[in-house]
Amino acid sequence: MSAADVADEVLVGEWARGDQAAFDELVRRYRRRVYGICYRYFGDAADAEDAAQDAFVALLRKAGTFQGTSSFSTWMYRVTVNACNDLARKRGRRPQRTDTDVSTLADDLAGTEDLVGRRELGMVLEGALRELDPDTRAAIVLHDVQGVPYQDIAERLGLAVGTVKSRIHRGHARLAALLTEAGGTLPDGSASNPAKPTSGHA
Amino acid sequence: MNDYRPPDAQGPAQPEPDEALSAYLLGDLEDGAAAAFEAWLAADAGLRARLDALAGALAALGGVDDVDEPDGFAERLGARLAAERDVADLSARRERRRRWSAVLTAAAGVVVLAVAGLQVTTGGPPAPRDERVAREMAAGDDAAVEQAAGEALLESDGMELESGAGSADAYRAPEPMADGDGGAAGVEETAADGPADSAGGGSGGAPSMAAADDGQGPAIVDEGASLDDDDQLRARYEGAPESERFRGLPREDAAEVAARHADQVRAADAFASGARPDRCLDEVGAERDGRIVTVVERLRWQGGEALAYVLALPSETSATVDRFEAWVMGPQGCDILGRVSWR
Repeated sequence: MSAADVADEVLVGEWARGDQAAFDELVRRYRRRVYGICYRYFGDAADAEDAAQDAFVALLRKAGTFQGTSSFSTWMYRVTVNACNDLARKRGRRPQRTDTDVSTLADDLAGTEDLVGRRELGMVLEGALRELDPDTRAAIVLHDVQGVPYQDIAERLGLAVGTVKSRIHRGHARLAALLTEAGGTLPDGSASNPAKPTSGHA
Repeated sequence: MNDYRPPDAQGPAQPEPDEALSAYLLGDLEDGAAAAFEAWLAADAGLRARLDALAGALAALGGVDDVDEPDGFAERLGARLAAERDVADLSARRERRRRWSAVLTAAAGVVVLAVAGLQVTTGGPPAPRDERVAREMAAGDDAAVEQAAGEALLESDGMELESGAGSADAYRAPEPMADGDGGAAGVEETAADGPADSAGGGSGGAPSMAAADDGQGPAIVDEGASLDDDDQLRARYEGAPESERFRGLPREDAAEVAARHADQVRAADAFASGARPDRCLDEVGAERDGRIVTVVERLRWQGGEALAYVLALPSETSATVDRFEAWVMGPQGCDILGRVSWR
């Protein structure tokens, strides 16, 4: 069996025991995704690349701390966001929105649905989003689709930052519950069922 | 939101942790809460499933897989990772050398005793082997050090090497610090160019952090020792070899070392508490006027979380490092909780 056939969780264990080929395969699989997360976070290619490199350095140093309490792709997502948070803190920068100026976004639901529609989300995720109440869906679209920081969302919606955070966290919790109830597969090939190994993000 | 406890923890019933899912994933959980959430995760397969589903959803909503890598990213990433592996290899070699030095210190004591006995009875010259060991160590040649050390042990001529024999002051090789499944929030075992050491001995005692070669960086210590006042603060750090090794260093050299140490503290990962070692670097004046950070330690000060910074520096009228300071900074905003200095 080649490294390309092995689940992420197996590879990370092999790297923790010193298998360089396993590490290289993980980098190959996740390089584009990690960069993509960082680019959506900063909206700047240079910052995104620095943060993405930091995320892989964290993988290099800390693979032994992965204990399987989530899938590897989830663990790597968190490692990457933390790398972005750390770099933003060091450089005194905040996350940048990446697409439309927030001031041009319509309040109405049609605007947010249109933005969602531009991404191929898959039926399960689209269905789950439709289950959310309009205010929560709007906040989630601004934050997750547009990459708008909490502070800007709060200003846009005339709410306290804490209220926006809470709304988004509650919305995420609801979204996660709806997705696992549906048991569907997301468009990127990862599964909402963690029992299914994830791989192939290159 | 940030006070979740594992299912078997004492205390009042906790709310379902689902609202912490995204806070955990997005790095919004406060110090310690992420570890508590991970305990929930370990105990709840449904929660793990929802976490994985949310991570996949956020990636899809963000369209992260639609972003193309910039040209040359793979090559630059490969070069950075190769450099990081070199640093890790260097740290591992240093770790081996430190462990050998503990053996050597003990062995040297045995050899000195044996030679002293020999001189008393025969008046002959001392064997040069331990001097060779020291030279090999200074040259950084691990293989030669290990060979020379082995020979030094053989030259003790059958004397059993017991724990601590002839080496009451021998330093202890560091123990690795604990880490959790916290990803980037976890604790790094070493600074970028120097081993993190664990200060044993508990409340108020002198640190056991080792003296080392001049290329070593600051000690990043995650011991959580408990101190209550400035007297204990002084007792803990005054005379520590991490600082003393810079005594007499010319001011211009101190400036160079200060900059390097500050960079290494910035590159170090967060402590287990979540606090970053570089949080109060500016407040303690690190890097300015040759102020070298020699130790950063997470500790408890009068029962609360705090960070300690130890510095070696040239005083205003001195051309060389001749002054030392220890600062204790609070968890919020780097307020100064304690500060002592000595020469």
